[in-house]
Amino acid sequence: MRRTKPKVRQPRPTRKPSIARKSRTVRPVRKAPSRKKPARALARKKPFAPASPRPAGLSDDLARARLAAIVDSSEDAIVSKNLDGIILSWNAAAERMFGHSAAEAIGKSINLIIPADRRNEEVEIISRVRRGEHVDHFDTVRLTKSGERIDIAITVSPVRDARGVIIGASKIARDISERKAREEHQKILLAELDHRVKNMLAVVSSIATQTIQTTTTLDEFASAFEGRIQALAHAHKLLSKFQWKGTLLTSLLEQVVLTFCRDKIQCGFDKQEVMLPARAALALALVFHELATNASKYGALSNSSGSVRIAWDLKSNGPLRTLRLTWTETDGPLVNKPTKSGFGTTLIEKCIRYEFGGNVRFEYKPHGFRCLIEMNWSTQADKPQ
Amino acid sequence: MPVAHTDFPFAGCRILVAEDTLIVAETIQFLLRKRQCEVVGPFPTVTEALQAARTEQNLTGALLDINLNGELIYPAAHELARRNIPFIFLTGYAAASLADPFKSARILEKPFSANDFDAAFRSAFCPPTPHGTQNGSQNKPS
Repeated sequence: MRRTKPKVRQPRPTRKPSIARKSRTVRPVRKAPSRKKPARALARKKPFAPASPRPAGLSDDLARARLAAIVDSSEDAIVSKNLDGIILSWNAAAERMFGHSAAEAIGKSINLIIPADRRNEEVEIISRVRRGEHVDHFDTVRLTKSGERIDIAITVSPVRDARGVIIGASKIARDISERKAREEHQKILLAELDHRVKNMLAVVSSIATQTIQTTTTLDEFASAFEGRIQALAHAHKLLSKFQWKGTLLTSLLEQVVLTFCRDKIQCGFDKQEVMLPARAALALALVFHELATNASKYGALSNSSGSVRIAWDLKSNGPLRTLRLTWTETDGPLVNKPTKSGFGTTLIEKCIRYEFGGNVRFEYKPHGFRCLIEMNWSTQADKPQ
Repeated sequence: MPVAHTDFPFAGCRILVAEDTLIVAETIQFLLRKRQCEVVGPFPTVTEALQAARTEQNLTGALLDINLNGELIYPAAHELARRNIPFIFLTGYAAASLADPFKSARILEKPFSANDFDAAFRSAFCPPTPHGTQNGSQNKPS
């Protein structure tokens, strides 16, 4: 990116040094990317066009004043310096960005805003400027007056005198802290997603391992495994709607249980809204799936007259929540207490006890099966699953 | 029921397990029992895991999920390191996100296969000697 053509420029008047200084920033003004266009595309537009002919009758002073006004109203910091790194001009945006006023900055070394660990960058930049090269959209860090480090992108171009001799550099700095923060946020989100996916795969793989232990045929395995994964998928879908902050108990029941029911009369739920944290939603999805599967095989959902009622009550104590939930089956076939507990009921019991410090009771009354669940969680901690 | 893995010389090991998701904890127990190892735990909270890390005797090693329901397992890991008991972190997080003293700790990334499990075991733990368990590989924080 070597400039070969000396810039066409009128000799500067020497009597008004402040304007003369500002006139050095004329070129960057023209180069300053429009906010509407992607900065990259413009950065590649090289070399800049020589100063376009001014409309006839416009005096030099007027042209300079107009350019100075553009520099001053720019949202990007525009700074010029000589080859020794002494600041020669400092626009209003530079004052806002770095906190030093023009009076404070002009005449000082550019090191004023360069953190100690970035000084070697400046040496490199100056040596490139001396060779007539540009530095385009270089992401770096600068210091404000208060000592805060800010992320900026700088574009540096050599400044030449009327004979084409490089006498300094103009520097345009754009505050990219928002962009950096966005990138950082995105990185965190991706890491979190990655973590969540791996954990979920570990759960899926564990469900497979556990299901294999308790099924005898491949068909049996396939249907049991598929059902459990579906239950998790339902919970997943609901959780993703609320950025994994949680989901409503009623929504979870509708997704997981209603598919086993003829209609909402056969399966009735309480209306009280309970926001379940992600891990409670995932656990309860599996729990409800097991209860509904059992009901549809042996219980109240296995005949036309039976029905299921699900009622609950949530108690709050500071950040602690205690959910008491009853799953009551009525008018199903006559209930016989199973001789040994199946994988589903064992899973429910263990999971509620292990993950939520709760307890589960199964009641096999002749007129219907009942399951009572009590579980606890804190609204303060919820590990992404 | 458990089939002895003849090429897996860890029968009789005592392994502390910290993992907050029951179904995963069950699978870890299943894998350990199949290898004729004794499971200490599993523990779903840092408090319980730390208590066990302090008091359990003759531990061969530990499998520690890093994040137990939002709490980091590091206090228990420090305690194990202090007692020279090797441990393996279980995690879905990238190794780079480990806290500083544990950057070089052994990791078994979730989800893991039975082979990954065995390999991590071999690299971190020493088989028990006939005179009882012996802690070999060091897993101290640097």
